[in-house]
Amino acid sequence: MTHERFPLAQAVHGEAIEQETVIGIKREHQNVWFQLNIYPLPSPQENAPKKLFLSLAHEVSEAVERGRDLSQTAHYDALTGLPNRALLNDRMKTALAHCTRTGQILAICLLDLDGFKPINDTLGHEAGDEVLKITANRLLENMRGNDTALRLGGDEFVLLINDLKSEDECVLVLNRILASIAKSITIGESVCTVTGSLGVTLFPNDPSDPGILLRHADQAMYKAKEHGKNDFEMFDPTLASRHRANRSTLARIAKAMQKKQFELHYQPQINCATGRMVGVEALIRWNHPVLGIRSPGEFLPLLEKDDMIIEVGNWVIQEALAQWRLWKAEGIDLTIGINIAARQLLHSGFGEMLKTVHASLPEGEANPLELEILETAALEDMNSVARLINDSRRLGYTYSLDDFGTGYSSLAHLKHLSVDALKIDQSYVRDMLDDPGDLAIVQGIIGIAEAFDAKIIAEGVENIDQIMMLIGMGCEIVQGFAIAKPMPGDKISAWLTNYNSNPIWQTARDSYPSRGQFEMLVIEVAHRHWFEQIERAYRDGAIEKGRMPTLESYDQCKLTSWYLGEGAAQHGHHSLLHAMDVNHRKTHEKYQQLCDQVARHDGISASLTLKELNELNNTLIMAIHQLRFKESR
Amino acid sequence: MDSVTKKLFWREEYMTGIAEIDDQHKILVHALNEASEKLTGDFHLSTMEKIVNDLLSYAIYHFETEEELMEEYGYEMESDEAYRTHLKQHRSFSSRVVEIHEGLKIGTPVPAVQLLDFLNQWLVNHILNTDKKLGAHILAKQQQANQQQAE
Repeated sequence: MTHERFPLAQAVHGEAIEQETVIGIKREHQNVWFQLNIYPLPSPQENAPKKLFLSLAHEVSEAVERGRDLSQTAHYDALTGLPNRALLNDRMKTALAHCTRTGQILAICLLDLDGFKPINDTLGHEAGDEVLKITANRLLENMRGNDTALRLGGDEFVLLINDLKSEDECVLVLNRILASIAKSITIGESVCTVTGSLGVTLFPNDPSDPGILLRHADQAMYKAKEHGKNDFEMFDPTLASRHRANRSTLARIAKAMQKKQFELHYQPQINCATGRMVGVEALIRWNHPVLGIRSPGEFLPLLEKDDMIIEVGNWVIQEALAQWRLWKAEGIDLTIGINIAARQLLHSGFGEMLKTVHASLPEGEANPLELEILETAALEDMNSVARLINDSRRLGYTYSLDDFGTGYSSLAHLKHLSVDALKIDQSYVRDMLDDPGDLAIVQGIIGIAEAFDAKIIAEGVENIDQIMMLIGMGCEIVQGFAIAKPMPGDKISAWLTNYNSNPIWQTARDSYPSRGQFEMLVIEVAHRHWFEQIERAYRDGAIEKGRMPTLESYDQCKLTSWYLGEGAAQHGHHSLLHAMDVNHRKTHEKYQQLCDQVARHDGISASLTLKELNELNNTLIMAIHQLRFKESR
Repeated sequence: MDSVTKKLFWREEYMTGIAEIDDQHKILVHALNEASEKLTGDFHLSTMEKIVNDLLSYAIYHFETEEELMEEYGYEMESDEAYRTHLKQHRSFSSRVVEIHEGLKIGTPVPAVQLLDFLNQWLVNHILNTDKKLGAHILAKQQQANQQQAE
């Protein structure tokens, strides 16, 4: 209290005094409280220059201390002297406001003592109380003035640590606190220890409301307990926000289902041997009102672990059947490939649903549905799936394994499940002309399909070379952009008319590639890859290493043996053939030159040679290309 | 610690000023932190799958939020080029995430560093740049509307 606020001073200044004034002083470590009163006295003389006052102070220590005790018990823990639960909201609010103002981090921690109860049980409550008191002191020793340590009750404390600059700093403080708590405590003749399990969440990284922040700290504390105590655990806001956000996406997809925002597009599958369209694959699209048309890869993975995938899957079957009926009315008969997620296949109602669908088909009609099993690796109960497949095959359903060859679909599944077809994953088809490894896999899958007497379908064909390569290897049914993009059901009829009458396809069908043409394609691919290996080795620091890989020489090259054999027999009269051979020889010689330069670490010459080699190889590939198309005529 | 693995805290400079957008951006910052924390050393592919699934989900709810706001505040009408760039970036984010997901699916996951790089780049190029432009546009529009109301 400033001197001016003393009652006497106020009275002298002629101010009215409305409140009772109590002041406290310390005397010999004791609080002594006085109530101050002031009384104006009548002046002995009229017009006296001085006014008189009577100031009285009487001691009210007892009453004041009693009152203070009451408020202390209401807001402070009698045992430890720490604030109690009643002050929690208030302290949280203050700390959050402070943190928002300073832009620093606030740690909200929940501390629970490990090993406290046994002390209470074996050494008695007094010992337990002593431990709590000592722990409270240790907490305060390791925190700063404007931090809060608060006893929630029992052996639970809340710590609010202000002004942290980083998570690292917070970790430092927490470790200090934990280490200090874990120091042994001597009570009488016994020595005991407790440790702390701390759950922490950091504001504003966790931007929740006070109540939620405490709950987050509490959750983290339980994790700390689970993880073996005497440690802290940070609450991970990612988990909470991820959960919320993902639920909201699922809700959006459910709403999209209600609002009929999904639609099916159909992608034709062609048998190259006959040139006929043999079927379509139904592919789901999300016609999103804001984001436009979204592909299945963008949203189906989100449903795979939710039962909504079953609802969506059933809708796809009904929708495809409706389309099939429309096509039938137009005189178009197609099988329709339907993707079936593992969760749907494993769902108990799936078999029944297939029966109902089958019963709804017009009598005497072949079942048009080919069920493509996705991610077979997720099929936990292989036996029941095998049974389901066998049962429904009697109803005319056919089955294929989708994405065959990838992690999700493997040989073991093929052995267990009797399927009618394998679909080669598009990633292999896409890369097989550039990567001999992928080419070998495609070849292998085709062989496996033959061995299991299954049809084989290649997905994702993008160009005519891929188609020719596939045909050459024995895969005749193809699907992909090279044939047609997926299209709405009502476009299929027009596309089919156009396709059947398109002279390009007529020629393609008639000029069904010969063995020789296939071999040339293989050679072309091999030479392209030959150069790619060189380029890669060069990029990966061949100059520093002074070494290039050992690759096929001219004499070892497939192209050379073709030139000497088939080539000479078929095209011997073409000048193109000989020009190609000269160029081919030069190409391999150029590589030898490059190897020598690299061995000398002569980077400048080598980079020029590499350029020349690239041009030579391109010319060579062009020539093989031309010969291939001569062959096809 | 290099820049890729250092934990990011939400910072003032990430703010667009639009609460809805900022809240969702925080989720992405969390995802980035989680990715850099968990995708180190030996990690299980399912961890990466979870993260990539989150990104797929993010691409739906977050882009929907932003593109709805664009519509509401006439972004296309008034800043056609910025609008187009913005949409293009959204679509390319989605297709990159789908690509990463496909890679995981067929057993050839991208290296974690590449995923982290991609997310870091996105934060720097998209959130700190493209989204801020949208934020400024919306704030200006809101201010305009408030003034008109006051008059």
